[in-house]
Amino acid sequence: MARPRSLAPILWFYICLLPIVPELHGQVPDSWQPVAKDDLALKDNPADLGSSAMILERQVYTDDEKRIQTEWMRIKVLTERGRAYADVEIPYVEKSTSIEGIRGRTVRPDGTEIPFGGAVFDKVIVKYKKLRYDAKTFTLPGVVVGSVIEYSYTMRWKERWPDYIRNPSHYPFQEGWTIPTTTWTIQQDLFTRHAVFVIRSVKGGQLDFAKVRLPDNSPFVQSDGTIRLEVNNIAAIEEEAHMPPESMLNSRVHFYYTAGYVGDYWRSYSKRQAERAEKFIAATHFLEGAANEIAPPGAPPETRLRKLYARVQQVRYLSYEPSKTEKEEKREHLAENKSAEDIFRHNYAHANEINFLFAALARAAGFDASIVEVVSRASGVFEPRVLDGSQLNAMVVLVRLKGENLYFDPASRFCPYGVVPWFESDTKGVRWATVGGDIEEVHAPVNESSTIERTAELKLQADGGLEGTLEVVFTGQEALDWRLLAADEDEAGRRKLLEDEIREMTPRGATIDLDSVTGWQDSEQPLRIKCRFHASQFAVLTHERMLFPGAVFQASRKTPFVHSRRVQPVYFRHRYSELDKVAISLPASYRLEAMPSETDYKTSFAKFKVKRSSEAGVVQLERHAVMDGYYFPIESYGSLRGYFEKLRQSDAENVVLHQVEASQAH
Amino acid sequence: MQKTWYSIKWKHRRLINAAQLALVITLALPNARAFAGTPEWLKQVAQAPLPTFPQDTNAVVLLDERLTAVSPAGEVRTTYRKAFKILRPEGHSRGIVYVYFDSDTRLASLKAWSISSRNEEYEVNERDAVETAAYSEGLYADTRYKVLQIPASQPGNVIGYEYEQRQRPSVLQAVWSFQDEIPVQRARFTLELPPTWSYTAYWRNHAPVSPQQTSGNRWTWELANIEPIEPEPQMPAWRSVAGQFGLSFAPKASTSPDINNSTWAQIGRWYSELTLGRREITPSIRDKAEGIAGGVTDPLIKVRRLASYVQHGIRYVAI
Repeated sequence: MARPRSLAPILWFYICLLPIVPELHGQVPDSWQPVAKDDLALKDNPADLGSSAMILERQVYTDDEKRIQTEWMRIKVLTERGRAYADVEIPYVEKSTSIEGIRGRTVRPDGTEIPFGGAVFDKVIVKYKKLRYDAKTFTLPGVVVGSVIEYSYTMRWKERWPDYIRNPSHYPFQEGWTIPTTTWTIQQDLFTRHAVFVIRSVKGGQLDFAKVRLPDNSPFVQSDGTIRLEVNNIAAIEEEAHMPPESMLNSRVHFYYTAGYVGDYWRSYSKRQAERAEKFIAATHFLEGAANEIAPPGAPPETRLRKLYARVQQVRYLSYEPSKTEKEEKREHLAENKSAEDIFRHNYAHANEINFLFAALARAAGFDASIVEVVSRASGVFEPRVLDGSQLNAMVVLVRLKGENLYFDPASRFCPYGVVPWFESDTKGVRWATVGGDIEEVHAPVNESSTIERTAELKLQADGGLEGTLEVVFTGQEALDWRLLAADEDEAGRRKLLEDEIREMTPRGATIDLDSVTGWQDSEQPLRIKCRFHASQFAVLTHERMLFPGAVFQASRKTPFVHSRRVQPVYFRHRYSELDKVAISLPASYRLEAMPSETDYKTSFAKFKVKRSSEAGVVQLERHAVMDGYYFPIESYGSLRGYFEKLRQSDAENVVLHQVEASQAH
Repeated sequence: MQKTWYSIKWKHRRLINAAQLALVITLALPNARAFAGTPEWLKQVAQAPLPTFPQDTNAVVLLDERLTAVSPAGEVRTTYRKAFKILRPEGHSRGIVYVYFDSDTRLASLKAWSISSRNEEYEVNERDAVETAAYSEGLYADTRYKVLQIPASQPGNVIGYEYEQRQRPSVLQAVWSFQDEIPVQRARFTLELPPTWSYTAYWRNHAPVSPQQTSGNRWTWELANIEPIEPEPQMPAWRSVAGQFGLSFAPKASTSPDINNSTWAQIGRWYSELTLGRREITPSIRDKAEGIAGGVTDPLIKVRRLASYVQHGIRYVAI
């Protein structure tokens, strides 16, 4: 029998090997890695000159088995302003997570290392009863311009994964479910030179991911089963005016565990939602009677639909009322709406309950009506590969009429028939259907009808003052915005809102007297404001002449897109048009000397037409500008800026009057 | 429409961000007690007849009352009472009460009530309040606010609150800003001192008002019908034009700079002693100064160099 070999040499062999065994890719090392001399000498970010700081290295290691995520950040401070990155704030929810192992150091440009040994503070951000939202805060020492600062920490989740994540095969799932875990958001508010992300799955868990705006070959599964993503030279997300929502700009990877078959996730989601709502929006006998009474069956279908729409908009919109405490709500004794029929009987509703009532009444009247959950364009775009229903954050009703898809949102107060708020148009979502609905593209006539029309009869005074009457008409989305803004205001508040708005339109320093406002409540009508205004210093007087801009309502407006450099795409909320018709009676002591040229300028995305004429001492100025696009990728910025510059130049052209002798005055 | 998340009902879901979360907590969750114990002082001011105010008056202060009681040991207890009548939707913001506290300022109690135009009454208290950091800019601070939403802060309703703070301050002073951006119907300040103490008072932007001495060492200053000061563009700092009443109090025979800061000289002495030792020239400070401005003879250049170092070499971190 052979003598058993001692294990000591074998153990010694492996112990010797330990230092050269590579760490798990992306795992945050226990000791700081040396800072390269080049990084210490770096004076600016070549990829983003003038930036205050840049992330040299970022590593995020997520271990779902241990329920921890460790993050390491190495930042180069490039300017005085960049020194603020030495103040670190790590937010966390105390009930569900903890922050551990905070380490940090500063390496000065000369290579001197100053370890972080200061205090870590627990800062209360919000605390309410048992809920606390805190932040660990600390500041790294001795930071000067040129320093490299770095810190790492571990976030630990307190709650364990449910068993069906670890052992999905033990559970008979009828449908496919996803349970989100971490999301890697690649872009930061600083340029990132290099970043590594790694995730280790729960043992037995079926981890999957969906990526947004990332190349096909990333992330990838490593030999040890972890998933890794490595990125280089990621631009920062810079804040700019008229930029799209951040979720439309950043790249990210959403991770989730799956249970059951998720190959047909959105159809399953649609079916599940439809089944839950089926009873609520059932076309009951009562609702059939109500629908036929509101919209008699003999009338044309569209007329009937309009009547049903108008009726549901008479329901009390609880969600638009001033916020109430729980007790105030209880005191009102408002019974819960358990069905569309309840809503009709109670005549009050929360939020999308009004859409359910409209769908139910439409069905009861024989229409093909269904609910479509969409992604609000105010927050982003629908990402069908991200199997997470929570991204659907808005709702419309789809009615198919004569082969046409009509979209409605009566739950949005004051929203006219056939119009949906701008953020619910040109977007995508999921139609609810008990047999599994499709992904729908929602295109509704929200934008074309959004117009501001200004008609003015004005008199120019010999001292350069301008006064007269002005009628402003808001239609479509513009009217809807104002109605919603003023919904909680009283009469004085509404007047002030409009006066402020008209003051913004009119020449600087103008006084406004509101005469009448009509259409606050009737969403089918435009919002119409009549007022008088007086601008004491409108025209410029010279020795013999008087000059004033040909665009009265744009004279004090700031020009958008003055900068030639732009980083983000341009994103307006919706298409819009402006129509101005202005008649200005000239003072008797002046005659017209020069009138700006007429312009008719068109691009593929916008146009404006300016007509200027004069007759019998009255100058007629007409300006019609139409913006027919709302999303402009960065490549189009030059054209878009050029359009606005052309418009600005036209608006700035002056009408020139010449003073005449009293005998020549008209 | 966009969905409401904060309601757990699936019909009302809505996305929410952290800021909204705080707002929702602040505005939606307080669970007022029914038919609450609305105090008599609030019921009384709610019943008082009011003059007519301009149409754009958001709310009116029915009562702004403060009672400051000082113990012989220098502990200061201050009770604040305030009542409003809401006149316009914009007055709703008066129903959000912010109460400051920190490690030296203890909040002993906080309660609020409302009386609706239909005579419904609500009560909320400290447990219903949300706690937040008083200033978010600093890296850390132990200064906090309790934020309490008073139910039914709607036009036509009367709301009021009462809280008590306890302090043992280094500076025995009280400052009362009795003027507001809205009309103030009645304002009252009561000071209660130990028998051997006295006070000095000043008035700013208001004619001096004589107190009523209601008992041995208890005085009450009362004002009525105080005009609002509406903010206007390019006006001086609002507080510099608003009415203010200030008090310093101390034992009559005391000369201790810790508790008797009625003159600037006393404040200067007190601060000097408080910071004693902080400006000592230690060897390391001396070396640093030598390194920055050593060999420079021109005093102005020397000062410039030192100033430049403290401005650019020292990073300001607010803790």
